[in-house]
Amino acid sequence: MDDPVNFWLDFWNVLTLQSGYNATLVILGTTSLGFASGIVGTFAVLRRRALMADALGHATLPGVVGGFLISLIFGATGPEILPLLVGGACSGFLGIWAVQCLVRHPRVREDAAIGLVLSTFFGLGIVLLSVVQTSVSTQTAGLDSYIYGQASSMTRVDVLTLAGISVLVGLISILLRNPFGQVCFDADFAATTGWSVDRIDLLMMGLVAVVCVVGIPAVGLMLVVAFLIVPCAAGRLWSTRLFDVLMISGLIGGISGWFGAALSSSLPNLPTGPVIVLVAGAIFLLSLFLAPRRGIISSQWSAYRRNQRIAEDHALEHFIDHEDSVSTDGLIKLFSVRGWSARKINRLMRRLQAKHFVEFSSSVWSLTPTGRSRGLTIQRNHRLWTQYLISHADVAANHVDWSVDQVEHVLSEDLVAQLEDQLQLGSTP
Amino acid sequence: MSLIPALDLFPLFASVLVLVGCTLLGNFLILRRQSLMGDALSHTVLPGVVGAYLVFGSRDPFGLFLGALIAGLLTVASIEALRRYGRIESNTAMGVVFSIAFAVGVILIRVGHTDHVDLDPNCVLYGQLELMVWFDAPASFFDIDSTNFFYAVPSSIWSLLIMVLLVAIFVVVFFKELRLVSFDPGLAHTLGFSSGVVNILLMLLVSVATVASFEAVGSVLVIAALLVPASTARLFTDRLKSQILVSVLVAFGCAVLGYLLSTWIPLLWQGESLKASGTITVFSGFVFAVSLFFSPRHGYWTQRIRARQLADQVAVEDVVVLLHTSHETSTSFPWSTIDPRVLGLATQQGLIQSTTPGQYLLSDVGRSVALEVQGRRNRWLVYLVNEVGLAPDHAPGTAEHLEHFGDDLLQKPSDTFGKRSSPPGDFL
Amino acid sequence: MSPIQRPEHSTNSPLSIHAMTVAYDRKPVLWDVDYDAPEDPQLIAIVGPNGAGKSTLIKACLGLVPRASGLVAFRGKPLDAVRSTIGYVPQRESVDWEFPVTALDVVCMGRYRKLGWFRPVRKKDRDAALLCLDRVGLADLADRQIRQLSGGQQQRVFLARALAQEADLYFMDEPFAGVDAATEQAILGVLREMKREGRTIIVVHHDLQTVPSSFDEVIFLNMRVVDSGPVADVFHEDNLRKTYGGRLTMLAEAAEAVARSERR
Repeated sequence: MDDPVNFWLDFWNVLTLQSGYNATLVILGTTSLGFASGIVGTFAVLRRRALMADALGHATLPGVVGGFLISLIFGATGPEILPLLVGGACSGFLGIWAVQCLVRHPRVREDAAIGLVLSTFFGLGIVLLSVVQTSVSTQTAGLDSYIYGQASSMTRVDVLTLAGISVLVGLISILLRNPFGQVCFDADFAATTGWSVDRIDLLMMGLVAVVCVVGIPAVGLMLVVAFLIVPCAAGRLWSTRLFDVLMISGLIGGISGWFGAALSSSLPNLPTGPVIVLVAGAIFLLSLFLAPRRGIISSQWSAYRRNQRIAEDHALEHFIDHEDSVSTDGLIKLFSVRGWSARKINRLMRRLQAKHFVEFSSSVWSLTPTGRSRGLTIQRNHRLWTQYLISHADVAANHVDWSVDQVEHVLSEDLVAQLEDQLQLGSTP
Repeated sequence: MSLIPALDLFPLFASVLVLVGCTLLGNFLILRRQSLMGDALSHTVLPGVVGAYLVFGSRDPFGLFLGALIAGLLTVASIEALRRYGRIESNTAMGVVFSIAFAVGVILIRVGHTDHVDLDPNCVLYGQLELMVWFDAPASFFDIDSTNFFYAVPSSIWSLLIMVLLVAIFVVVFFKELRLVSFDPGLAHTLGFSSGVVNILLMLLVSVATVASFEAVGSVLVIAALLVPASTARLFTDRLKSQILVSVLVAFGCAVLGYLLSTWIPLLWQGESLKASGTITVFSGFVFAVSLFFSPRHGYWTQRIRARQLADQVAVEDVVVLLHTSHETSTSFPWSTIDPRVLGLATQQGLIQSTTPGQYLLSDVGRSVALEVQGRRNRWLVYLVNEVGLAPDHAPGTAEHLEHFGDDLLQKPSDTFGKRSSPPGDFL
Repeated sequence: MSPIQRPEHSTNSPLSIHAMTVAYDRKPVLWDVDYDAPEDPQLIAIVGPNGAGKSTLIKACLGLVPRASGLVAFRGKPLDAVRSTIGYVPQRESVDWEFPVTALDVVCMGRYRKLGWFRPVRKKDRDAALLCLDRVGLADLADRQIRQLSGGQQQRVFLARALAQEADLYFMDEPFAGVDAATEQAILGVLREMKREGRTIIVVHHDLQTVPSSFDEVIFLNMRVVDSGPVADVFHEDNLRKTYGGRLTMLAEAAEAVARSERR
C-alpha cells in the first residue's frame, strides 16, 4: 500500500456509500447476496447438504459455456448474463440430480458422489471452455470470470436482479422457517406429522441453488459455497433458537458483503469474492472465541469451573461423612481414593478455605458452620437424586445433574417434596 | 508409432503418474468417508503452494513440498480443532477451513501475479500439461538419446515420480494399519494402534500428491484423480488388495486414453488439442458411469438381468408344478392365463413339449423337476412348522414362496455351530 | 448420617474402578462408580435402563471417553501397561459393512497387537484366525465379504475376533442384541469356554430374564452402581426396583392382576 491515509479515506467513503455509483452498486449486490446466503445456507448446513452446494457450484461450468454457445447461435456477440445463468442453472441441477442417483448405489457414498460429480462436471466445463476459447471467433473474455467472479463489472441490471432475487429468497426462507426447520431437525418425524418431506427438501435446495447461481457472476463458482457455510457456522455459535440463528447468520453474511466489497474496492488488485469470504472468516473466528456459552473461551471456562465445583462437592461430602476435622496427612489418605494428587488437594483446600467452608488451625482441617451446612445440602441433593433415579428410573437419566446447586433448580417443588417423603418412609438408599 | 508422437511422452507420463499416485491414496479416502478431505486439501494447499512460490521465488520442488506439508498439517489441525473445541460438525468445519484457505490463496495469486507473471490463476485450476510437451523431440522413439532425454525431462515429472514412490511405499508398509484403522478405529485404539498418526500421515501424503499434481492437472481435477478410478474399482471387487490393484489399472488406462483422446478428438475438426486435464477427467467419469451399469457384480444392468432371470426361473417352475398337479387331479389347465414367453422358456429348457398348438405336455425331465420342487416345498413345510414354529395354517403359503430356493439353505453342512444346523431364518 | 462405605480395592482384581465420574457436555453421566471384579474368572453382566451409562462405563475404562475423575486399574496396573491383554467387542451398529474385508480378514485383525506396527500378516496368524472362526462355527464362511453374512453370523465373526486377541479380560457391548435364541445359547457356550480358560468377561446385557441363568455376577447400573455381586446374592426384586424403578413393579403388578383374574 503506497498511501495508508488515502486507503482509509477511500475505505470510509466506500463504506458509507459516498464513493460513487459503481462502488455503491457493488456493495448493494454483495450485501444482499450475503444476507440471502447466510439465511439459506443455515438450512443447507442443518440439513447436512452444504457441500452439495459445492458440487452445484462446480457443476454449473459446463452449462455456462453451453449457454454461451447457444446464445452465439442466436446471434449474441459476447457473453450475456441471462443465457449463461440459465445454462449454469440447468447443469447445476443436473449435477445435483446425478449426486442423488449415485448415492442410491450401495457402493457409492454421499461424500464420494459429491466429489465425483464436482470434478467430472467441472472437467467437462474446462474442456468446453478450452474449445470455445480456441475455436470461436467472438469475444470470450467474460466467460472465465465465472470461476473467480467479477463483482466490480456488474451492471445496474445485474445488481438489481441479484439484490431482488436475494431479498426474495431470504424472505421466503424466513417465512417457511417452520417446515424447513422441522425437516432439518427430524425428517422422519416431520413426515409423520403430515409434511411432505420431499417437496420441502426440493424447495429448500431449490432456494439454495438459486442463491448459488445468482451469486456466481459476483463471487465466482469456487467461492459461492463459502457464502453458504461461513456465516451460518458463525451464527450457530451465538444461539440455539432457529429464528435467532437465521437472523444472525443473515446479518453476518450481509455485513461481510458490505465490508468485504468496501475493502476490496479500496485496495487495488483484490478480487471481491475472496475478500468477502475473509471478512466472514474473521467474524467467524471472533465468534468462535468470544460467543457467550458456545464460544471456546466461555465453554472451556465453564467446564473448568464445573469440574472444580464437582471436586469441592466431593470434598465437602467426605468431610461430613467421616470426621469433621482431619489432619493434612489424613486428608491425603482420604482423598487418595479419587486419584487426586497432593498438589490438587492442596489447591482444592485453599479454594474451600477462601470460600469460608473450611478452616485450618492447629494442623487440622475442619468444617466451618457454613461449610457444614453446604455439605449437608450437597448430601441432601445427592440423596434426592438417588431416590429420583429409583422412582423414575426410566426418565431420570435425562434430568439428573449431580453438579447442580439445588435439586429444585431442575425438578419441580412438588416432585422434590414427594421424593423427600419417599426418603423418610422407604428403606435407606 | 505415429499414434503416440514422442513429443507427447512427457505429458502422458505425467498424467499416468498423477492418476496412479492419487488413486492409491484415494482408495483409503473413499473407504474412510474422507473423500471431501481430498476436496478440502486440494483447496487448502493453494495458499501453501503460492506462499512457497513467493518465498522461494521459483518452482523449487523442495519449496513446494514444504508448502504442501505445512498447508496439509494446518488444515488437518484446524479442522480437528474446530470439531473438538468449537463443537462444529466435521463437514461444516471442512467447508469453513477450505473456503477461508482458498480465499487466501486466490488473493495471494492475484497479488503475486503482478510481480511474478508466470503465476497464472487459471493454471491452478486446470493445470498445464500442454506445457510439458517436448518440443525438441526426435521424430521417432528409436532416435531418443538418453542424455538428451534426461535434460529434457521437466522438473515436475521428477516431483511426480518421487510422490508416487512415497505413496507406494506408504501404502505397502502401512497396509495392515491402514486397513485396521479405516475399518474399526475403536478396535485400533484398544489394540494400541494410533489412528491419529495414520490419519495425519494419510492427509500429509494427500497434500503432497495434490501439490505435485497441481502443475500437471490443477487443483479441481486432482479430486477426480483421487476419487474416480478408486470408485470405479469399488464396483468390481470385494477385497481390498484387488480393489487397489484394479484402481491402479483403471487409473493407468484413463490417463493414457484420456490424454490421447485430447489430442485425437480435435483432429475431427482440425482444431487445437483439448485441455488434457479436462479430457482425462471426463473420460474417467465416463468409465465410471459405464462400470456403474455394467460391472459384473454390482452394476445396475447386471443386477436387473439377474433379477429377471430369477423371476423367469420361478415362473417356469410354477408352470411345471401346476401342470404336474393338474395332471394328477385332472382339472383343466388354464393355458390362457400363462405368459407365452414363460411357456417358450419352459419349452426351451426341455421341460414341456407342445403336442397340439396351445396345449403342452410335461416331459420326463419336466416331471422330475416338478417332483423336486414339490419335495422342497414339503421339506420347507416341515421346517417352518417344527423349527420356526409357524402355525400349520400359515405355513403352506410361506412354503410356496420358499420352494424355489434350494435345500442347501435347509441343511447347511458348512454351518454346524453347536452341532446342529443353523436356522436358515438368518438368510430370510 | 452413616458414612458411605467404600469397598476395599484389591490389587489383584482384573478390573478395579475407583470413584469414577464421567461427564459429557454439561451433565455427569456416571457418578462415583466403584467396582472390583472378582479375582477368579467370571461372566459378569452389566444391566440397567437406557441412558444409564452402561456403554459409557466400558468406554471410560478403555479410555475411549475421558473421565472427569477416578481411577481404573487392571490387576493393579494402568491401561497402557496391559493393553494387549484386554479385548473389546463393540456394538454392531458402528461397523461399515460395505468395507472390502472378508470374515477371515476381520478375525486376523484381532492378532495385530501381537504383530505390532509394519509387520505383515503371516500364515501362522491366518491359521490361528481360522481356528477361532471354527470355534464359532464359521470356518466355511471365512472368505465371504462381511456384508454377505447374516446378523447372527456377523456377531459371531466379532466374537471370533475377540477370541483371536487371546486377552485376559474382555468387554462386550450388547453381544446378544438382535440374535436369535439358538445363536445366543451357542455364543454363551463359547463365553463359558473362555471363562474355563481363565478369562474374565464383562458384558453389557439387555435381557434381564436371562441374567440369572447365564451369568455369575451382575452389576446394577443407573448412573451410579446400585449394587453388584454374585447373581444368587444380589439379583432380587429390591435391587431390580432400585435400578429400574416404578416401571418394573408396575409391569409385575399388571402381570399379577392378569394372573389373578385368570384364576377366578
